[in-house]
Amino acid sequence: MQARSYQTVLQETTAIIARFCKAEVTEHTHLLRDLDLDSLGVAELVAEIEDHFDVMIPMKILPELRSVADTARCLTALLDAEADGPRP
Amino acid sequence: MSPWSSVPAALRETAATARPDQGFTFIDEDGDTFCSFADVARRAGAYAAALVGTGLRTGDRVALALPSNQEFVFAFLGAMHVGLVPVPMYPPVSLGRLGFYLDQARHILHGSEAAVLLTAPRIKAALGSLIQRPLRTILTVAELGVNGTEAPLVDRRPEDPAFIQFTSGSTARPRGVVLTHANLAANIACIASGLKLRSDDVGCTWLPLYHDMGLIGFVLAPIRTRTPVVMMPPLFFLKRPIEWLRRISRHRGTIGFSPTFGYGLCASRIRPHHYEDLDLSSWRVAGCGAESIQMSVLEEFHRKFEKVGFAFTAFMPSYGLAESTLAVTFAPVGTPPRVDLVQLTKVSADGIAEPAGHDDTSAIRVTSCGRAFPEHQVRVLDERGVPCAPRIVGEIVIAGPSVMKGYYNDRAATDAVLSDGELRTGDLGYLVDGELFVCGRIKDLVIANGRNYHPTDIEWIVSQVPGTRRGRVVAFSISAGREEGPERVIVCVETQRTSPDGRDQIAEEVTARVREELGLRVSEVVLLDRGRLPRTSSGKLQRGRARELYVRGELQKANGYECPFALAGRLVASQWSLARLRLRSLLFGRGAIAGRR
Repeated sequence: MQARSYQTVLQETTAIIARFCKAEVTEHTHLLRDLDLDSLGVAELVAEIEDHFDVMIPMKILPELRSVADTARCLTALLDAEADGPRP
Repeated sequence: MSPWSSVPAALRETAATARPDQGFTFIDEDGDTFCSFADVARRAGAYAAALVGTGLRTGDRVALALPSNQEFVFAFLGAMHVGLVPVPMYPPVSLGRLGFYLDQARHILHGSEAAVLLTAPRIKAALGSLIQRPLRTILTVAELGVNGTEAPLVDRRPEDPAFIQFTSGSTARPRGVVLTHANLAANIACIASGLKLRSDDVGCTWLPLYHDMGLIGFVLAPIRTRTPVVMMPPLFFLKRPIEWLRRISRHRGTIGFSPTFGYGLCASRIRPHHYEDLDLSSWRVAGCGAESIQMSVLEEFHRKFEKVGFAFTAFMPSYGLAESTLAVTFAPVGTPPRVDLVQLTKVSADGIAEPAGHDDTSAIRVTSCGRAFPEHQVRVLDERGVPCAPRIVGEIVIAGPSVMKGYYNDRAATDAVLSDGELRTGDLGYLVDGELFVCGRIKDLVIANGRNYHPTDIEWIVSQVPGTRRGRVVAFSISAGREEGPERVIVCVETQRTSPDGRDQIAEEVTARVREELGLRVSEVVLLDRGRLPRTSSGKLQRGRARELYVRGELQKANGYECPFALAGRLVASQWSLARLRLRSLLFGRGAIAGRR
């Protein structure tokens, strides 16, 4: 697994969310607030993102992911951690 | 075992007699953790000692907002072990705008007079402002300092409170249902006999443990019946519904429960190429409750998963509510659900469930939720309190040893629903051959994805949106129409803004806030000029009346028309005729509302 820069992750994340929600999405888009997603929709979106990056976003972090930027930052850190060492 | 022994006493007995491979399997993203019943008892004893160490005494309330199933189970059982009264709370869905969550949490903490709140570190950091009397402290499990020392079991009497379950009431904010050890023992006995429980049964659940269906059905009852259970966090299921079915396959699960939407989620989200992992032939009870039972969704689930061994006869519709511990009726196990085809116009206009012919395209399907349990009564009463004849729709009224003694510290609310041991459920239904068909509700309640939302909560959030008139908002739900489907959530709010742009902005902000704070999707925002929402002579908003006007299309029209409610205001509808009107719109194309949580 190779670490990816925040910008690359952000770009890919934005594209996934835009496709999933069929909406315009920017770094500052707020997941629950600005997109037409209820809590079920958010869960499904997270699964899509996880599949794309092949990582698991820990459930305890989920409530903290508010914006697209938060999500990309979290993913960058997760991918970084994976690049440093194999999965436990 | 005596019929009323407490759950902690039952845990001790189960720990001593169960096989070492019987217990709880906690699924987490980091892997599975198995705890035999003996392990569970030890952990509960250790949590109990740590809780006593914080200065809590027998009878004190301890609130639990723990997202980890493992921590929740041990803390809950540990509290009961030493005679504390646990108060389960749901953890926040998002740490974004917490205003609503904090308000709700404060209400529950204050209402239950909890002295200690046990939660997860990340949540604790956001909840500091909640500390005010009687809440002394907020602790994480790490801070509780659980070690190997176990506390001795504190004996409780049948009439002592076992725990307090907060639930959305019919007219107000969540209220604390006090369940005694006797209530629990009675309902668990009903559940075990209703499921025809066997020694080789295995439960498999994703239901939240802070609600009765998950907590009583898959933690407390299995302790008494020595049934192994595999439990996964709700979020894990919502993210990957296939994991529920995989665990049922892997653990040879025999019992699983879900609101209708869970079966729908599996049917819509699980792709055929995943089916090869699945073998659902062991699943003998697929319980269905907590929201309207939509047969079309269950049929779709069966159509998709029969090829991997799922039997249609596994579906078991049920009806229940927190005020009656958990379960009120179960349909018989091992038989296909009984569906009643009734004439739409007859049932909606006259409240008579007249059988319809199979060629009647407007007929609706209502699902039987089964009969009353032994020693319990289920009656259907008309507005005068007189029992309805079979097939006549009325309010479901129940009695028996599972019915709560009352709401915590709320005499008025208790008196409003309980008299002579009979509980008015606020749900509408009819009886045929002693079987209960649930078909609507009198109470104002929005049910989405198996969760109850009280309209006042939605209204409170909408009132915070700039441009709305404070307190001039009503929220309600209506059925999706003739087709079976989820309820639509409608918000009507008065505003002083008149420009279309300004109004669009408010509408967007309203849906955004409700989504953000409750995770709930609003279908329509109706913006009204000042004074357009119907109210009583004392100025109180009439939610039911607004709903009725909305359904008739009159509320939307009211904007820009003169004197829209002059006539309507004079028509003081009785509660019952309101109920009928609500029933009419709720009934379109839906089955039973089977219970609420």
